[in-house]
Amino acid sequence: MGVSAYINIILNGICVGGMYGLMSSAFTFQVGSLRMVNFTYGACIMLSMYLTFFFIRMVNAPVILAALGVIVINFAIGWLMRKTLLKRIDEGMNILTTMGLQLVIMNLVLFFFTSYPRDLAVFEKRIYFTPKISVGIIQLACFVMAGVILVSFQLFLNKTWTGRAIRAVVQNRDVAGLMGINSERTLDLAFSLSFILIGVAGMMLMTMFTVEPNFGDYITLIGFVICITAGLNNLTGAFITGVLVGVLSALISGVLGTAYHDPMLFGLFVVVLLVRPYGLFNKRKNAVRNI
Amino acid sequence: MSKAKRILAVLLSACLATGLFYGCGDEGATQPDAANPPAAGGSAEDGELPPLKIGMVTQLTGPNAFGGHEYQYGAEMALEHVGGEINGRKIEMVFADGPTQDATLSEFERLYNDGVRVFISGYGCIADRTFATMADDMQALYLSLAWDADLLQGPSTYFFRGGANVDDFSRGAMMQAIDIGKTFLGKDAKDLKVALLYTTRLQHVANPMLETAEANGVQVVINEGYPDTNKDFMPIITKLQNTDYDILIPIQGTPDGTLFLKKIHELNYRPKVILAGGIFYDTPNFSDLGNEITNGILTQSYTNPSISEDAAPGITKFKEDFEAEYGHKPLAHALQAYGGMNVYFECLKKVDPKDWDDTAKLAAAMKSLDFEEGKLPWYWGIKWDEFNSNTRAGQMVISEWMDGDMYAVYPDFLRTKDPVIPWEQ
Amino acid sequence: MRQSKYKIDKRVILYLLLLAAALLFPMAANRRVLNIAIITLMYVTLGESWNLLSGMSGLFSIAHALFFGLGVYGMTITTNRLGMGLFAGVVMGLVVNTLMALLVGVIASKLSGLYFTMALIGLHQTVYSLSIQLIDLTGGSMGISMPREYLFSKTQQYYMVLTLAVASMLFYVFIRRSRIGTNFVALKENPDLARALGSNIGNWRILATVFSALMASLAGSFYALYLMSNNTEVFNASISLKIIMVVIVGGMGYVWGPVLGSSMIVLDELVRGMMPSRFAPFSVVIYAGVLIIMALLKPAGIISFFQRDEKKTPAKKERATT
Repeated sequence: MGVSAYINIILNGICVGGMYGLMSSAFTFQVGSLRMVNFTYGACIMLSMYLTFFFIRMVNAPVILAALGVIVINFAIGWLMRKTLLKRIDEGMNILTTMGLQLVIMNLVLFFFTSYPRDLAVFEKRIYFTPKISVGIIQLACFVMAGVILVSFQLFLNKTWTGRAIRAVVQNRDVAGLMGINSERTLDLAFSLSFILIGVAGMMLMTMFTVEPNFGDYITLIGFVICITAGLNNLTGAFITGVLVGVLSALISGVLGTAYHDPMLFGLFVVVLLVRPYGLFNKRKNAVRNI
Repeated sequence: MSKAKRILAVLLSACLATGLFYGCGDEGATQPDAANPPAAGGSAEDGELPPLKIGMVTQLTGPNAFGGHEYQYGAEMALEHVGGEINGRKIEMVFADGPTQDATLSEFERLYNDGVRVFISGYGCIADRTFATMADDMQALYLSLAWDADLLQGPSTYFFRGGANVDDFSRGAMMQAIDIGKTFLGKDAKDLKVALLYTTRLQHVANPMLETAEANGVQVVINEGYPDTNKDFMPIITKLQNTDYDILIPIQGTPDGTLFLKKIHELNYRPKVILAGGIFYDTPNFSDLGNEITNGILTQSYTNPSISEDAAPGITKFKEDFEAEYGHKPLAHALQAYGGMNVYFECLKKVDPKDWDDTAKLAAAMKSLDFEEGKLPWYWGIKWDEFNSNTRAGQMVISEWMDGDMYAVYPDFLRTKDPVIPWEQ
Repeated sequence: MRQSKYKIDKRVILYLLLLAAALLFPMAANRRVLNIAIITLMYVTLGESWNLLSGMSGLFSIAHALFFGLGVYGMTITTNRLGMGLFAGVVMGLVVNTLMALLVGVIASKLSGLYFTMALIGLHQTVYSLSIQLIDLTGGSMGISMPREYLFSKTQQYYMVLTLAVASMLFYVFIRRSRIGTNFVALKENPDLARALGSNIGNWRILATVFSALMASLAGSFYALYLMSNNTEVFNASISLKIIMVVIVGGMGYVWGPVLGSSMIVLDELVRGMMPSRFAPFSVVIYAGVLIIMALLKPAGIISFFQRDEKKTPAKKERATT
């Protein structure tokens, strides 16, 4: 393989990494900023993918309406989940209840859509830099979107009043209440908003991948890896880690062979946990006791 | 006070548990006793014999539910075609859902407890390893369609492996690749370069191929196994694009195969010859990709519904009735179940219906079956070796996709259309 | 606990009665019932194992199938590939699991809560993909069989797993009453205080993980005998979930919790056969629904229904450990 082949591999790795960043963005926000461990996360992305398929291929709705439908439904799911399952901030119980809900979603999808893999059959246009180096347009769009969304979320949290309110509520509910923040409402809103991200990620993924009921498992896994490696509560870090993971994946596959991909990637993840348990992009003191 | 309450609680739950057990124990007791299947004697002599139940535990839910249903439909169709009865005694199919190995095992025990003594593999044959060790102890007749021959550990009376062998499958595919190289590409085995691409879940298919390639001097220039969860095929495709090879042999499952083919189509990259060895390449998912992608792709599979009627009597009727009833063309899996059921029917025809409940007699009749290839609808014949493995199920079929349909192109005697290699747009 | 001698005697009699009932059970049961009982008792063992790690020590393991699966693979690989006996298989499972638990424990000793869970998931995924890829050793997705001479009858299997379940319950009680258990609970309830009082958090956490892994490993070795083969499915999330469910539904942190919770396994086995196949996904929906409802409304488990007079319910103890 020549140099151009490696450039192509790395370039596409960066794009896929951006997609990973987008996939894990909502999770990073929910766990890191809201301290709600949401294991239904992959299943919800899977559900959004099915909904996209349902609106576009089965109802034949226009793309704009379909997108709106997916987003509204996701917002509603987020709101309901927050009102029922995640009412109390209790990590252990959150893990359990959301794990249960994940199974419910998966099996309901299985019942209504069957396990037959669904595909939008959209073919991606590619931009050719040279005959051997090219990137897909949708992937590139994902990359840009993921970057913009994550960085703007980070800015939103750090700079705006609402963002600060959310952080204040997460850190100390009682004091935030004294300061005049309606803490419950703020958290409800933040959590439901993060579900819009899930909807967007699901729609983007649907244009690229074939969906089946257990598609979410892998997304959840990648989401965990990126979120923990970056360090909790660090959205910009999550985006950079996503890109890192993408490039690393591509290089492992391209140089060593794809068979080494999973053991190496997840092995490295454990090494990172051992060496820098508070994450690649977090300072030591404020990370470990975070959750 | 608290102690007394706790004791009460424990006692109550013990009663509950016992009740549950007895509840299902009674349910079992109304069924024929486990050790003694109902003897067809006494008052039943002149009356109607109870229907013989054939059990199939298959994956009706879970990620492989599609294949599981193909098996179910294939078996139902077989029963329908035989008229639901043989020699005057009714036959009944009993289906159960086994999405995982332990569920399959539990359901097997349940059906056994309900009096089912004759079983056939479900899709994926996921618990056949276990049954291979247990069938003799349980005196239950089991026809396995599993393709891993090493599950047979010795002679058995009740366990039969009727399907093909994974080694035959892979060797056949590689030999065919060599043949294609010679006939259509003008390359000798020594000059032939193949690229092998497989999901590690199907590594057992790839390994015998590699051995065969080595034995014949074929160069395997790319040997890439990827994990089932792989979502990004760019590195692999870039590798393919930058390597010189003649034949690409992908062994893939459904989601990964779709992704891979879509990606190479987007990149406008077309390998000279694709000779697939794997489940995905004869599924409707594959044909859904559109003719532009599927045209000219060769796929190796078990005997499948595209083979010629001359060599497989009854296959056309099966194909047409199946499509009329279930709304889609049958897959190789449906034919497997259909063929397997027909093996049972041949066996039942040899035994007096009164003796069907005696599995020892059925097993003896099964063992004595002797069919040449080309006599049954799945083409394969039957001849058991000393471990009850079918020695006449080695023939595989290569089919080619042409404009949305699959035609058997190899071997000659199963051919329904001549191959076009390499495919020209 | 304040107990009069008389009451202890009464309890001992009750336990002996239960044990006797369990011992005589195979005589009254048919094959299917025995089969369900075997699975149920196996989940009791696994439940106690999870209970020790998560209920007692507060380390949340949602990939417990890792230890279980390693036990299965230790057994099958030793007997099939290495040609050694059953005992060697059990030991192999224990050794491999000890190593794995040490690794997990070291991570747990540095961090806790979510990080521990994630590390376990990472290791789980690594081991899972290796179990598929190292086909010459593990048999890959086809699996390998146990030699046929190790096939035990259902009754024998029942007594084996009954021994395991009783032993794991006794072990749990023993640990809970010993100084080790006191430390475990202290770590769960208030790690900061425990550290301040001079308890070495890291080492106790490693110890808890190793104990738990060893119990799961034994259950895995037994499962290999039950399945007579291995299969990558033993690493499935559904097994981890069932383990958790057994404990949560029964009552976390109590030795009788998994026993009561294992009624869910019985229910699952019974329901599965009754569901028409089209509606089979609903059995999982019901199953998961029960878990959610129990976790939300009765986090203390079934056991709490019977002890209303005791002020201290585990619900209060179940605050996330950080």
